[in-house]
Amino acid sequence: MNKSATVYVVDDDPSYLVAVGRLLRAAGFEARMFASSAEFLTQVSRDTRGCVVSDLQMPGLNGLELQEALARSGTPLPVVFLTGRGDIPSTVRAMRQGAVDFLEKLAPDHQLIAAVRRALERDAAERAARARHDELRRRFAALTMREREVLRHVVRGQMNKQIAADLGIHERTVKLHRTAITRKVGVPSVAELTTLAREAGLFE
Amino acid sequence: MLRWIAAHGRAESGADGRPLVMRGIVRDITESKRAHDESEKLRRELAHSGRVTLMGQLSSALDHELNQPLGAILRNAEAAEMLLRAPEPDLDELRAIVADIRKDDRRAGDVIDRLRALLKRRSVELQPVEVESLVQDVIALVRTDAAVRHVALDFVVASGLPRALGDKVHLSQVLLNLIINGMDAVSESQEGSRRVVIEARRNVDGMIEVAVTDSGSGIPPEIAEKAFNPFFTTKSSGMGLGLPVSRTIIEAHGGKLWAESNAMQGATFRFTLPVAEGTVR
Repeated sequence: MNKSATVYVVDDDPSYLVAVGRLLRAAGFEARMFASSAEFLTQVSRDTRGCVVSDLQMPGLNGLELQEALARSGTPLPVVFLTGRGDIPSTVRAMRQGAVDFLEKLAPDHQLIAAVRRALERDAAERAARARHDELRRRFAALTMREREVLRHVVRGQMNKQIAADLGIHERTVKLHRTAITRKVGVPSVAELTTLAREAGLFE
Repeated sequence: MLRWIAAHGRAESGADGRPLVMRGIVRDITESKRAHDESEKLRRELAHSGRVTLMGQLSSALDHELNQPLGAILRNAEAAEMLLRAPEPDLDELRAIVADIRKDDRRAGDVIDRLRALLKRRSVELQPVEVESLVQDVIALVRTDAAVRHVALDFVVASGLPRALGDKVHLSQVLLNLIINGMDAVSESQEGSRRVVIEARRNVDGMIEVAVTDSGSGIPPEIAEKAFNPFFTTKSSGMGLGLPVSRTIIEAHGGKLWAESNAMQGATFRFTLPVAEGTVR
């Protein structure tokens, strides 16, 4: 799908769908329209960027189910829900599932646009965090078994001498492993290495 | 034709304890079974048409069907406003928007027409109706509700009341609505003094008159007429359609429905119905 950030509008009412699309485009957003959750889901891939503006009540998969399906597919795009009036139980559930916003269908345009902006910002931030995480995992994955073992000890704050004793290897070998680790992960300080290892979920 | 038979009997034994003869009665209960089934059916229809279908249809029509076209109109108008801010607005797009606004306006109008048709439903089938059993059936429907809410329900019917000319299902809906309103009106009163009385009699004009009186705090005069306006409500969860729908139904029968505030306390909602021909005693 599109590489640039896009607002994906899902609504079973064709008039409303077209009108929301027009408004978002007039406001300068990239917008694509879908008449059902199923139709939209076939177009979603891991590198789909942007946010979803979805009707809450729809035949087939409703808005909440669409949100669940996105989360399961590994593309947890932020969702802005549109609804009729005061549907409290659904609101609570949607918020719990991480809805960015919940608007009445007749909410004024500046509210809708502000909600879409927040959703796009959130997607960008979450995407950046995910990318960083993936990159870290990739770097740590390049370590050999022995280097991982050494790293585990380093993260615990042990000195080279202790590590060498624990692993039954020469202290100079430990130093060589540490150099390799620093080169592969790309950080020189132990403190930073520890933070990154934790962030990458390495020794959990 | 299928007939329903009920049998009761007892065996009589001889001196040696062996059964000799069986005495008892066998009754044909087809009629009472049929009447029972019919009232069950009515009860189901009522529960359905009165509380689910009509109100359900109305609120879904309002919440969903009207919100869609109104929402589309709003979004289109907002988009048009934005486009008009451009130095050279896209006229083709603006024309398309205006055409769509028109289309959705018509769609919203159609929803309102359908709502109106629903409220005025022409399919009122007038038949002779036994008022006493009509009221009893509705009371049976709300009895549990009344017990839970500690409301005493009384029914007083004048003897020799002729049958009314009406549509059982629609009239039940009116009664149901008035009785539930009455129960709502007394919900703030002290337990033990919550009372709703239904009276049926013949009035001086020869019409059948049914009154539902509650022991609540009564209706301020400025509200008494407004209460029949669609969407006027004093309840947090009400749609404000019960009374206008009821009045429409009663007027379709050739009767009247109005509210009275009582000198003592509480309010009375009273409606009239024509007497069925040939039943005048």
